[in-house]
Amino acid sequence: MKVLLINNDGGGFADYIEVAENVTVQELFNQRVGAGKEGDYLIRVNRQPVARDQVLLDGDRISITATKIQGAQS
Amino acid sequence: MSLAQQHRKRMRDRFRLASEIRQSLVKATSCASSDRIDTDAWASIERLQRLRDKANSRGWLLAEQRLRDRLRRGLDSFCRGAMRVADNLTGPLQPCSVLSVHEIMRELTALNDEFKDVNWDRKRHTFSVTTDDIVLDEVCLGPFEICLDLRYLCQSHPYRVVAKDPHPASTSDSTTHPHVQSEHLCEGDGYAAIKRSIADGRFYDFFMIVRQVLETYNPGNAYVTLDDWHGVECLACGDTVDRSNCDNCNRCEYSVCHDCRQVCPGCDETHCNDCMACCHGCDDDYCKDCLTCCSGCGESFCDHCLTEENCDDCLDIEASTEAEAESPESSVHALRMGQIGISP
Repeated sequence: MKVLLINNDGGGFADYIEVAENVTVQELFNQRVGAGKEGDYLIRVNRQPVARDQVLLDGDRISITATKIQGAQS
Repeated sequence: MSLAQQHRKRMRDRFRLASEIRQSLVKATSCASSDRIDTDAWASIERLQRLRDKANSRGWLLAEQRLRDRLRRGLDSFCRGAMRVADNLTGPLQPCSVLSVHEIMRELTALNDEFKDVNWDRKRHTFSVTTDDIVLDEVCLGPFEICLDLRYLCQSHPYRVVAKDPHPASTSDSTTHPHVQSEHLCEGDGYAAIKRSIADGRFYDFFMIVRQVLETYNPGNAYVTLDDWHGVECLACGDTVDRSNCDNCNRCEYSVCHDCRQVCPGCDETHCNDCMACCHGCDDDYCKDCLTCCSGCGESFCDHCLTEENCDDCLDIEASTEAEAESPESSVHALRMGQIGISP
């Protein structure tokens, strides 16, 4: 099945990706970002906060945004 | 107005806003589209052609040569662009990548859950959200309004970050956040993701990323660091001044502003008023480390006014005392004191 993955880290990756059936939010996050880092990110499914064990469905929109994004000066 | 009516009105407003956003996105996308002939380049070619004809008719050979070169380069560039457009047209039809009104409405609904205040100004064509109070390293900067201007979506920075209850740096009223100056956020690591989210019309992500940048402090790259946010207090006059207009006393290390600092002529270092004292010999001010106590009188003197740990006055007294001790005339004659001398 396909889900829209938006990773707002770095370049801001946003594209449809193929994932296996019954994949949870936690599993996708571990694959794409890395295990144990979920505390540093805001994870939304269809723009809503969800539990980590929520199973993804076809067409879901998952966005991952770092809680700390360093600004700069001009 | 009943709850149902309020809901209907809210949804109607949201639909209008979503439609306007979509129109702005379509406009912005067509600005950046690669499927269009560059008409500006063609106009430039026509102008060069006219100039070349004029140069030809007047016999300006050098000008004609230069214009011919420019015309050739312009035509090459135009042809490459036209070929690119032709290639794009022969490929499969690309679906419109701009979000549907329905999707944009979902974005707006989600923003209402994420931010306490979401506003649409129809007259100004702006769409804004307001953050909670931003507190960085225990410095409260107040809430910020992130205001997106829908008319300028195809420009590099189509939004402003406005402090709603400003707590600016004491040294710069326009710096309301370590990374915001004159309502302009310096995006740093968020630059690419912010650009991408605006280009894709993902406003939910855009506002989230900007908020996270505002909630992050990067002391190594700030307009004003939070350590200096409230300025530095001068020990001498008590004024709050910018760190760059302040020095630390070389002796006690307290901060003194440039108006109050004193430079010791002995060591050439900056000192505060409390760490300076007057030399009893020459009356010049020196730091206390450059003054030495005279071993005779105990007063403080600079190196120039001391000789072998004695001031000039003490040396004089010592010299005259020694002279008197050595001279026989200096002894008191009993007869002159009204007494009778008795021989042994």
